[in-house]
Amino acid sequence: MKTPYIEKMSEQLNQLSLTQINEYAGNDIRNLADYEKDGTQVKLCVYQADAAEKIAIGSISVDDEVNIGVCTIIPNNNISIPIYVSRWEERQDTITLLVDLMPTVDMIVDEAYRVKYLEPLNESWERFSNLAGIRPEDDNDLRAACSIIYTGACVPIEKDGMRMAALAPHLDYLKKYIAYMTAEKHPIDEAKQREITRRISAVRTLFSTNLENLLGKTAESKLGKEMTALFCKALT
Amino acid sequence: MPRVAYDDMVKFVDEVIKQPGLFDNFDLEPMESYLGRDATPYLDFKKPMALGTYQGYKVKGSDKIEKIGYGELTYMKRAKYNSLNITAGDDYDVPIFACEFDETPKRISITIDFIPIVDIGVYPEYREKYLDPLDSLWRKYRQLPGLTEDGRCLVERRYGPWPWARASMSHYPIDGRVYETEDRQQIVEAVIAYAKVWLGLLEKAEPIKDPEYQKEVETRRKAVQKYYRDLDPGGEVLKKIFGDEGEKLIVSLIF
Repeated sequence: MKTPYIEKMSEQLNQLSLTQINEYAGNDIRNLADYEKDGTQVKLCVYQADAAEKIAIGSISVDDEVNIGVCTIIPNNNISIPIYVSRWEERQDTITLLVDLMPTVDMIVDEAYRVKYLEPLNESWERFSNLAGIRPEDDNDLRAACSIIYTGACVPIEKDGMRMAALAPHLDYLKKYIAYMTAEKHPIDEAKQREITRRISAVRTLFSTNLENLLGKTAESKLGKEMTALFCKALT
Repeated sequence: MPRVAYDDMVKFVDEVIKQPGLFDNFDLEPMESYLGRDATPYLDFKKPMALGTYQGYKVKGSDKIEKIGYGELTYMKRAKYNSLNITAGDDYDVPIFACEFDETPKRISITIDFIPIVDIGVYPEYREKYLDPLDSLWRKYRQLPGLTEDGRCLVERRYGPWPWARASMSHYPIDGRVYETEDRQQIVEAVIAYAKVWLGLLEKAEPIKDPEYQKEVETRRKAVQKYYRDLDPGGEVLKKIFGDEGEKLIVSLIF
């Protein structure tokens, strides 16, 4: 059942010049890099890169029943690109997904930002709206932080090709995001930096809560509370 | 797809506003002008291609509402373009109640929302106070056929071509198209239900105390109003019927 989420996403990320880190927020994360025990598999990589405070990619697979993958790119707060967020929850007959470039500013007030970083994904947003099971993100709070071009769905897996179809928006958005990361950046003023810092922090909190709820007791029973919390923290 | 005859189309002002008594608790004061423009020619108009009404109101003795604006325009007895918007007073951060309800023989195109006037990504207390009360209504009405098809939820798609309009929305919009005759009445119910929630929230609203927050509210409210007044796609039809000045008055009265 397992779609090569980590492998395909990593292929894209590897275009960047990445430095892997073994310690995150004072915690050694090497245990989680490639963990396998009693039917539970965990993978986690956290990187530093130009323009990003952090790039994190990870997955947890439990008893071959569910495979949850996450990739986030948190930009530095002195540049004005969005946050890349990808969440993948694969089961035997469904894949529930969210992928977005979450804005780091108010996207109605800051028109230039919206035009530069969000509207170029309109074509992708329209195209992926034909994905079976397309629907709004179910978590109210997280949906409030989403951009105008997010793709959310609960894709029914009626044939194998649908797994790769569900992965397509993640890769498409990531490809476009990487282009933003590598493009020339313009300096921003202090007020904008404060706004960006505030929104990045809000989005991280919302996504972290969302992930904790998603992993919930299943991951805790396999990894323990502390390790599950560290996994969530490293990914958000 | 079924077709609805003109006589069977929703009488918006009667069915959505008057019969449910939405504003019965308010002492409404008609606005004869707005932003220096005469509003009286639009109260009851008959043009070669269109007839109907556009009305703006203030509420006597209350600063909680800046204006209530609604309209019903019948175009050549073929289509009806209806709207109802309520904007809270400057000292309040209540979202803008916005409803566009357009009906043709084939379908109703509907947008109902509480347009937030702060960045809801960063204000959890705002979401909790003003928007989360819509959760159960949103989950119920977004399932209406037309808004959902073949396992796909098409909420948020009517405004698809206008990124600025999508950017203005809350995370509880009903925005799409409804085709079946029996579902049209349900969408009327949805508008009334959303409006009643909004009026309940207004009752509890307190004036803003923090000047920094007030500044953010003003900035966003102005940005939203500017977009809708300058770029609303219905504006071109209004220009053809009423000319530039008439169109400016009507869109500012509504938004």
